[in-house]
Amino acid sequence: MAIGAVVALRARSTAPGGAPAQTPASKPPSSVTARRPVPPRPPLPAARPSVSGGAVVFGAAWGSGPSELGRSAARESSPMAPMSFVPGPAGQALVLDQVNQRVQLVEGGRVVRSIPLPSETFDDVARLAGGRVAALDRLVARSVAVVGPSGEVEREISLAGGEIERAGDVTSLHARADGLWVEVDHDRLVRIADGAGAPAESRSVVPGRFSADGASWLRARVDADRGVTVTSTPRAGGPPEQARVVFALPVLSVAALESDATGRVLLVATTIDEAPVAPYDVLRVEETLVVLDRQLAELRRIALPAKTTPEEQLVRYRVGPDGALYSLSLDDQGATLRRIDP
Amino acid sequence: MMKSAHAAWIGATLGVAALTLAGDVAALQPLSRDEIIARAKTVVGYSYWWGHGKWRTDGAQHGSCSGSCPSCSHSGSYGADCSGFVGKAWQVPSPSPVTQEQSPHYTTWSYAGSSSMWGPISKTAGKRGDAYVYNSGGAGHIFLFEGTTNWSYVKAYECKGCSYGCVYGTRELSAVYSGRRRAAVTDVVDTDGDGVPDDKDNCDTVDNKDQKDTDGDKKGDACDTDDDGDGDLDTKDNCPLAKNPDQIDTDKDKKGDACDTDDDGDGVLDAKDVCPLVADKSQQDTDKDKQGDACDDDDDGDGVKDAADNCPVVANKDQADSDGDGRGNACDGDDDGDGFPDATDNCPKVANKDQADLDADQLGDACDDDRDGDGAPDAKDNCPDDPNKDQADANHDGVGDACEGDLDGDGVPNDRDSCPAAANPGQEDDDGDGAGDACDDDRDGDGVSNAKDNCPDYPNAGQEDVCHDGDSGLDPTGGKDLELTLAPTASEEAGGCGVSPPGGSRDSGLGLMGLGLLLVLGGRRERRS
Repeated sequence: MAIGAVVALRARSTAPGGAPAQTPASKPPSSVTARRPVPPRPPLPAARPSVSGGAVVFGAAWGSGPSELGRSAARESSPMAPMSFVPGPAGQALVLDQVNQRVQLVEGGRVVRSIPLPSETFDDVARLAGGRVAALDRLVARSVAVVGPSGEVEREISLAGGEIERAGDVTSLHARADGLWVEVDHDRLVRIADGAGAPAESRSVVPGRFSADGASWLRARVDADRGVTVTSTPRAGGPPEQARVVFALPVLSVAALESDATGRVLLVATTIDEAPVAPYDVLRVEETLVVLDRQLAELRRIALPAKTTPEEQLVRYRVGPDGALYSLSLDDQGATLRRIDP
Repeated sequence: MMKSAHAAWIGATLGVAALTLAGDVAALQPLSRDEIIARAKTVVGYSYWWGHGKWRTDGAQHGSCSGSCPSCSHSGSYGADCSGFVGKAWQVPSPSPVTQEQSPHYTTWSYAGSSSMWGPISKTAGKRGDAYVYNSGGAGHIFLFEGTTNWSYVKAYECKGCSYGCVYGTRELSAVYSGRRRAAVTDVVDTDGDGVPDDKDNCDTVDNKDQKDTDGDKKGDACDTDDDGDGDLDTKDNCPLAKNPDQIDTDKDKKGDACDTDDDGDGVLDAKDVCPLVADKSQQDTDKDKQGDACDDDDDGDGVKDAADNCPVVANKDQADSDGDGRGNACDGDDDGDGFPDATDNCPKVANKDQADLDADQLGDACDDDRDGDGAPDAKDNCPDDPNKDQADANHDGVGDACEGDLDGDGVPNDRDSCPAAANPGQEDDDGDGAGDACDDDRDGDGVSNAKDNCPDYPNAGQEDVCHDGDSGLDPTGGKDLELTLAPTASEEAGGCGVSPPGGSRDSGLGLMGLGLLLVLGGRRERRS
């Protein structure tokens, strides 16, 4: 099915006669959005259908048992289920089971351990050394808790202050060697703690998520014309690269912006087709993985199963150390962690 | 029980709602999007209270929730569930304070259905104050839309659940949710999103919450090219917010005087600057009239303009200038210009290079009215240069004796006069003692004063009557003075020493003695000559 295409907005050298040309031995110069005329859109390539949305890594039924994951039904409240997860090496994963006030450690397809959490209101989790985890509570406690292997809260770092005007604007948590970072508005990262976990005296801000290869900062923005603009800002300096990814349907939201160690960028977007008039019935929902290379040129698209459940999730996709894209999907039976080879 | 009670409540509410939804649209008050969001913000922090929707705007008495709803427990008087919150924020069906429950209490089932008080919108068409609702199989949730992130996640206000309470935060918008827009929302166009509707915004395309309009021309400063309305475009106006058509900029710092707090750029603010338009770091104000010297045309305030003042910073009304060098005495270090500084000049106002001071009274002769310091003013002193307190003037010639050159006027200067105070032109000095006969009280030098000497002109210590005048000289009454003649008489020459008294002859017994006297006198004369 036609999904969309990438229209790269880059400065291109023009050969005499006006026809755009590209020096064979060199890449197109990097630049921010070109003000040159946009070339006509190429035909939208068909997406390669996924195989059931990826290989199953782990599955859990709903419940509060040791190997289960919690879900709360909505009775005039927000339906909740695992809000986030972090894939690890060799089939390991952390699943934030906040409804049951715990983090489930998954290995070999099963829950091997649980780390208790002090409340149900955590939204994201990150792996730390020594079996510890960092847990983000942006709505109630408005802090990041560093939790030991046995559930003891070793430290709590307040979100408020500096570059974070409202804790509710935090959109994800990232643990790096240089410290803890939180993303704000899916726009920028703010460093709130150093590598030792101590609150940062002055909060650094970077224009996007760190790419897995460490070369750039990545950012994605939905525009009004069925597109998502992806920006890659080189950490070494220089102008950012930009590419506009176009879809056949209006974009409802971006579900993921990840990258792997080779420099590939993985963009997942949810698109929707509604009836043009009230009550705007939903005709079609699609979820598409677009794989971009380091220069943000499109490599391929993969259709993924669209989300059909109401339970809120903050993180549905994350890249693992193996470069694969992992997803945590929900249905009436339970939650499933899958591995997608991009 | 809670479940059945809740079901009954839902039924009752819905039943009422079914009637209300159609019938109360007339009570629906117009509401702006900003008002909806402003009300929504006040719920953040309150507890989740299933079946309710009221709270306080002061943030007090949040209440608390525990357990798993609908079997949860609530304590306190305030809180809201998701639909109660939206109903209150939307003020449906009619306005009421947030501290009071909305009646009826619409549920997610209501909002998911159709109503004349709200209507469906496209999922991607959400605006501030719109809502997204989900309801299926007896479960449902609704939240208010404020904006989106870069990924089009919703910035939402919602009463999320018992554990969370009522919160603000970003959340995904899954496809199962439907958009809802309240009716009678004054879809206030706020192009620039500054919270001020375009029809009231004095700059509707530029974010200017403060609506500042310096010149009151109804065009806000944020988009007014001439904020102060002085005719100078802001891009060129050196005081864009202060009317200054003249564009005066004293210190040329590109900030006009009209808005420059330091017009002369001397580092002293105008409010405290004694010369705000003349650079003067020293702030000198000699006469303390609050007008600094740098701009005061009479620095010393003596009434004489500086341009004409021979001491511009020292008050000197009289403008005295003893030496006429153009520098007044008040500030001239050498008033008389004689080369001696006034501090050490014994006549500071009178030129006296020699600094002569006859009487050494530190007051130079040039200005001392009593040079010799004898108490007699020079104008009246008959010897102004010689101290003579008595002012003696023996010859009454107006020249004091102390300085008289020929006191007795005998033609012989005092310093040679054997009698300076007695006229003796011949300078006779019989006894040759330096005192002239005219003033010698012992002319003959015989040790007997003239007044007692029987022969004052002949030395006779024994007072022998050597001058044959019959006066032994012992007569205290004096007797006749002896007159001597130079030439001996004939008889004397004959061997007598008769000295002829005036008109008479003498006893020749004295002849030899008389001759001796003559010899003696002659010798004296010789000595004298």
